[in-house]
Amino acid sequence: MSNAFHSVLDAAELPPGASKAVQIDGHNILVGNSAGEFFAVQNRCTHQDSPLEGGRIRNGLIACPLHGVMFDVRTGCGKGQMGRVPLRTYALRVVEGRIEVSVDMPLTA
Amino acid sequence: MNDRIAMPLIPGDDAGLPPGADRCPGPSAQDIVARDLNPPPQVLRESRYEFLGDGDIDYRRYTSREHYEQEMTHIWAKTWQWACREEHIPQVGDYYVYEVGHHSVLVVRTEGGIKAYYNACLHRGTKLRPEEGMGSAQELRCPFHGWTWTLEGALKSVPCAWDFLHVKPEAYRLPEVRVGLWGGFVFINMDEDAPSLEAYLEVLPEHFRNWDLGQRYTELHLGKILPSNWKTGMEAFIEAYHVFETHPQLLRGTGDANVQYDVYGEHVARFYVALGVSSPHLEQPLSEQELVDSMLIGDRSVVGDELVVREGERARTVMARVLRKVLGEKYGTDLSGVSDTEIIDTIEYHLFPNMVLFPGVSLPMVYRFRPLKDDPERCLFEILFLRPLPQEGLPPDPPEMVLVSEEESYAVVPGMDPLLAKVYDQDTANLRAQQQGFRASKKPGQTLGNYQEILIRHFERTADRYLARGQAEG
Repeated sequence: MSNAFHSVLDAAELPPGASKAVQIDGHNILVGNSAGEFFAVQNRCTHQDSPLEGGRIRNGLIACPLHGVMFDVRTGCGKGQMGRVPLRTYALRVVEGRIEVSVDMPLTA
Repeated sequence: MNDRIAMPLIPGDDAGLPPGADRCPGPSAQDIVARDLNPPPQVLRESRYEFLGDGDIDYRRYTSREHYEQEMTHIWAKTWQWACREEHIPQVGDYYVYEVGHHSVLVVRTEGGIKAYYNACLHRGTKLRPEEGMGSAQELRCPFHGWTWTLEGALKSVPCAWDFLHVKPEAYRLPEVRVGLWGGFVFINMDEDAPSLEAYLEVLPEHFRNWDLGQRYTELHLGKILPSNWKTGMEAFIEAYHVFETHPQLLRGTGDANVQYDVYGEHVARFYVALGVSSPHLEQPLSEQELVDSMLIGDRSVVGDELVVREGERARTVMARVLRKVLGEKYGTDLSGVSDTEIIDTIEYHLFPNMVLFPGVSLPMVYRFRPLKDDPERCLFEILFLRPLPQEGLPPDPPEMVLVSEEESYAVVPGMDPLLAKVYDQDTANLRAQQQGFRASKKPGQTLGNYQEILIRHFERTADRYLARGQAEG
């Protein structure tokens, strides 16, 4: 399997707490900054399908702007009865100041 | 038993004293702190005990569903309770859901300050925010049909509004719950006729004038499910009489039987424990060096190797000096003006109904005890550690509550000192036995010590007053 990373944003464009939706090969992905740590998750809440872009990020959790469901941005796991289905997460790396995201399925261990 | 401090083993002899007047033989907490190198503030130099009767407390108030329902109506819907800390909701749109029994209140930071609403949609009642705790949103949109309110509580949009011509927006503002702020805590009260928070707090603002808990941040937040009524749970934490039997490891360094207990007004009481001294129960008092070696500190990892008692020094002086330096450095704050007792001792205030506050520096906790849903025999016990705000830079975000299940040790919580976890675990084991004993007992109520258990008596008296007032009002 290829391990293609797509360059999406300058890391400097995403200060802590910010998030931005990007499209890669038909995937709608939210790239964000949680207290200095970048993450990439699916940009669609698993509760009722709202985009997560712009949701408040705190304590490693992003809150869906629509109904407030919260997800761990590292693992994708949701909180509470409305967050039963986790978000898909994507591999992300920063190379020379550029954020790169891969949409390949992770290799199983 | 320390043979230098004679204590009778069997009660019954009043020695000619009026009820409640007798005290543990030997030095009092006031005697101990009066000798400190950096003396206590005035507010800790006074004592305010009052004998409030010696009748038994009926066990049914801890077990009966009917009593529980009465409390829901006449206590929880009538009193000021802290819902969250201000740092839980720092920005506009941040909210915190506070629940007690079936009550659910949505506390929201708006452009115009902090507001609170009954957490139920005005369409068909769904909770607007189903999960307890912190969250954030720019509007309050019901997850069922999408009725939406502004953060300020105005009806903003209704899907298919043509079908709701009978809904007048001005009549569909979210009903508000009263909000009050004190010490960095957001309080709520569902009773429109209740006194102001300021009046409700009685002496607390005066006592805490130099202990501004608004200048603290939440370092740790845990919630523990206790197998007991919320009052059973709380009452185990507002007396130190149980230290002798339940926490024998603490006798080496805790003035337990000589704790000072004070009652104020209806809502406020406190106890005051001198640490760094031998328990009056100890057969052989410890040396000052042994006292230093055995002292329980909130977080032992912060203590270095300066714990040597110099010639003529007391253990308390050494502990205060070391902790003042170590905690001051760790939290980036200046503790040079803080007295020895505020640094090392347990100073514990109770605010009716369910808040316990520790203004001290080394054990900086806040407790809250809440009924859990509809079960009179389970409760949620929360512990927050409030540390001084750093003088430079921002404190970390407030943590999510770490939930400890009924069977788990407090030691599972990251950042929890294992020695302290052991103390809490010992308390929890008793609570299950006590709650079950309430039902097993032939004797119908609990008997309280006149002095050491006065905070329980004071609390239960106030609870009775609220219930009686509520019932009188029908």
